[in-house]
Amino acid sequence: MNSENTTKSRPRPLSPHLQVYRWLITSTLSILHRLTGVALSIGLAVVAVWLIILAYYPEQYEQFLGFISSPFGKIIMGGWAFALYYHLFNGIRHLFWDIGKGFDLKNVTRSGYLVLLLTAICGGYTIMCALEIRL
Amino acid sequence: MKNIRTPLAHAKGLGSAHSGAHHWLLERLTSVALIPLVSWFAYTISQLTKGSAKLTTGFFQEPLAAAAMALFIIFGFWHTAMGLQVVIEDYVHCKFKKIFALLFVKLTIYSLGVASLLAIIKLHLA
Repeated sequence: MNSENTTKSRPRPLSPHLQVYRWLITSTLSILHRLTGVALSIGLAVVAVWLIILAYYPEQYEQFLGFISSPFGKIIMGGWAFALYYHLFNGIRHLFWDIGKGFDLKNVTRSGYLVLLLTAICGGYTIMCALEIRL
Repeated sequence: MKNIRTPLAHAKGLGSAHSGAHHWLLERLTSVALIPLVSWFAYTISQLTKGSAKLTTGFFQEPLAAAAMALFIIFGFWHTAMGLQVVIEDYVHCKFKKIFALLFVKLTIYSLGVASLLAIIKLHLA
């Protein structure tokens, strides 16, 4: 009874204190996996809208394509492409950990940079194809 | 380390919450299925969004294309539903808000998933 009062009048310390941690590739990639996952959820909803418009409102399809090929639409689509590649490659990294492979500090850091590199290559290639840039 | 669990608990293989292992495993299984599906989808969508509604509808006449898209939608929304559930459970601590958020997310996802599948069937039969 008494301890309950103390708890109420004096708020307990909260954890984690994000600001006291030093920057780490592992923690950054971890939260990026979540963020890209949430972003891709919204992307999947747009895929559903695409299918519904195509099947039930084909007369509106041109308008939909116009929207996704507008400058704003292109930025969003590019963001989703990067998010998709990142979540795919980092997801495979997670699956390796789940079967007990590559979960030591050295390999976790290495595979983290590899995921970033692969995302940059695939994302960059997709952007180049979309904007029809040829090297 | 000596195993302190009772033989019965060990045989059942459940933790203190008595569930969750199934959710964890399904999230992994759907992610494995999504590796080929999402690769196929990324390429397909980049090609399809170049064409007209008529051309794109024609693409869905192919049984394999319609089936692959349906599988992508099923596993995609399934994986999304489970992923968002974990995110909500991690960050939303007020019980009322949590239940409301989970219901909203799941109902939205199932509705969009079913609508997408119906659209694929309609496009395939068109």
